[in-house]
Amino acid sequence: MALMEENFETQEYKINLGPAHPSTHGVFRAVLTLNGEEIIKSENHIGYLHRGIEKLAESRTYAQFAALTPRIDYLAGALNNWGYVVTVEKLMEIEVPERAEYLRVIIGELQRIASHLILISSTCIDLNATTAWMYGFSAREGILDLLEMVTGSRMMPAYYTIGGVMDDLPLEFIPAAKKVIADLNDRLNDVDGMISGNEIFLSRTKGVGVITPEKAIEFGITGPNLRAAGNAYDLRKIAPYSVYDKFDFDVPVLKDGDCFARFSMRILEIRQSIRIIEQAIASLPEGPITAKVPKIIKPPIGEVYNQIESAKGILGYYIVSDGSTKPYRLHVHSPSFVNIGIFPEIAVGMYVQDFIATLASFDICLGEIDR
Amino acid sequence: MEVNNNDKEQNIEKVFDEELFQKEMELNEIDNNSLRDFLTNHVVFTTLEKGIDFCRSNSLWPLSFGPACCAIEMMASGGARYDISRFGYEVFRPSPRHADVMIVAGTVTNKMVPVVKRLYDQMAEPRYVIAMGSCSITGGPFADSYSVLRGVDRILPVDVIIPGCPPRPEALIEGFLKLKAKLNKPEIAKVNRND
Amino acid sequence: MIDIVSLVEKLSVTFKDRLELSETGQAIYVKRQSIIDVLKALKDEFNFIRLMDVTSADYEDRFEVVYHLMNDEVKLLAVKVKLEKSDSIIPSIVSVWRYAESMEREVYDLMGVVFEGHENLKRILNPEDFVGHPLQKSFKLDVVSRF
Repeated sequence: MALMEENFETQEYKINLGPAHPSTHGVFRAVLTLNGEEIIKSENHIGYLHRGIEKLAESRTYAQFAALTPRIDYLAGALNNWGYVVTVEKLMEIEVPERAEYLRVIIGELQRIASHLILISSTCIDLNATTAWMYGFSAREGILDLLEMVTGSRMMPAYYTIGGVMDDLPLEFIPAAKKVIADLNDRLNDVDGMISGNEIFLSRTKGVGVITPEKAIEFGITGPNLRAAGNAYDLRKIAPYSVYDKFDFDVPVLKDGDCFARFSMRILEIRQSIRIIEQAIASLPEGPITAKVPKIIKPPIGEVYNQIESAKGILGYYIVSDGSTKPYRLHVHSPSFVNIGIFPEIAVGMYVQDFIATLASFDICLGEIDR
Repeated sequence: MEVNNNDKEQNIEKVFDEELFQKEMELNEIDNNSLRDFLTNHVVFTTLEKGIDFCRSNSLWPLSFGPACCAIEMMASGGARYDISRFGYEVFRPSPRHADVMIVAGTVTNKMVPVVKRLYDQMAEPRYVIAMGSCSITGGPFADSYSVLRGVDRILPVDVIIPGCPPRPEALIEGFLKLKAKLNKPEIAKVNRND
Repeated sequence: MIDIVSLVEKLSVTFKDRLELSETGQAIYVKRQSIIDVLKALKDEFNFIRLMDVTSADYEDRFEVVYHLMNDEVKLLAVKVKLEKSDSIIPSIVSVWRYAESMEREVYDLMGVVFEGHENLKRILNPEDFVGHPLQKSFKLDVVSRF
């Protein structure tokens, strides 16, 4: 055997993983150096969806740019919209009325549920569990119906305006929401029962891509990936913005840090979001839906940096204003851009199929990485 | 002999019965009509090319290529609610060598242009391109950016465009049906110049 | 809000004249040679354990590189460095926070600021053969005639 290995010539070779990738995470490219099937080195190459949004912002007014923000992270468009609007309001020191805050929370949490459902479906189809993909997507259709009822668009809701929200809830929203939430609980139980106990799924995700809490902090990971590694860091609890301090919800934390923990974390977070929506609908106050804002938005000279908890991590907006109607400089700090920094580190020593499972469970969105 | 001849004449007369003859002619005509009906309903005369085009248009295999947001609506159209499997188009192939139609769903940036061109070159003929969403038609909301290609028809020949940002899954199905009509009858896609 | 004035006073004990409070009182300006030491001091002694963002801005007479930090009580602090346009080189802070690496590459790609000590300073978002740095104010976009 040893003689055979001596005379057996092997060679490392480099292959491309992407950018035209069969799974639907977008145009992400990783250059892998392989020894057989084991990865020796991995490099990230991004920029295939770089649309120059930060430069475009300098030639759009503040209200016009709000329509571009859902296209940054297209899986959770309303949360990007929210982050931008809150930053401009902090710069102009506008106070939003209470009913508008409650409506913002309802739409934001609905969008978070839709984004997590996409992760659950995509992870399952990457590991070839196609039925769970169908179940997840058809559960998401109910949520998209609700979003369309209020905002007018299935995927790109430009619902948040500077000072409030665009329109009030229609009369048929609350009975429809109650029906959709009851249905969603059933469908989540279906997906959970089908996948979480499945032997093949468990053997492909348990113990794969393990991240310790120290490593997660060293690489700056935020969001559900950090909470699945054991660190309870959620901006909605430790630094509540909007009206999140009025709701009673938990922040789920799992200790394992592997792909299965990241997958189950999304299911647990959906259940918590359902709790928030039910409480918000039950205690919705009356009042105006937008504050008194001048027709032409001209913030004072200055700069601001503000963060919210998006579906994938901590999303930050940095705006510098020079007193005119267009921003002087606008920067979007997206969570996935920092999260992918850990791939070259944990890919060493993995098999290619484990790398695919890890990539799927990390929930990256190329729109916000490349902007 | 005379008796025989008389008998034969009577036999021949007996055989040629006017009524029976009429009835048989009627039955023959019904048979002819039903044969004609049968042939019209069950047999088609066509050319080999048109026949293969008909089969091809009912079973197009899309290439799963979606750079940006429109890809999510493409996935939703393959889901259970807006089922494109009813039309025969649900087999998304990851490899371009197996695919018939490439749906460019999303913004194509300058860095991505060689990749898109290579994917198109690797597809086997006959191949078609659907440009889905306003980013792939003219550059969309990012048209004045420094890194966005203003429309994928600058590098590929596009057959069907589907406007929208993003277009609904029903719009994608309508686009597929227009491609099917174009496959069966290419004359409808000719440009009519008002001369 | 954190008490920036007292923070600047405590830091000035070690870093005498190499930092100052900005005019608006919202950020700290640091001279570029001592940026690594100041950030390390902020991380170890003053509990600003997380680096949230590395970005840049192009003003008329200077570039600015902006670091946003967050402490364990979830409060934000902005640390800025002024750079001349003709001499836009700054030491890299990869030794303090490992994940600043990709953010610094983005600042180099889009604004043109060179980071000394960064091992892999290549373009990250634009193609390799792109000419120019898009976010500088001197880089103009083409006007698209839509009709």
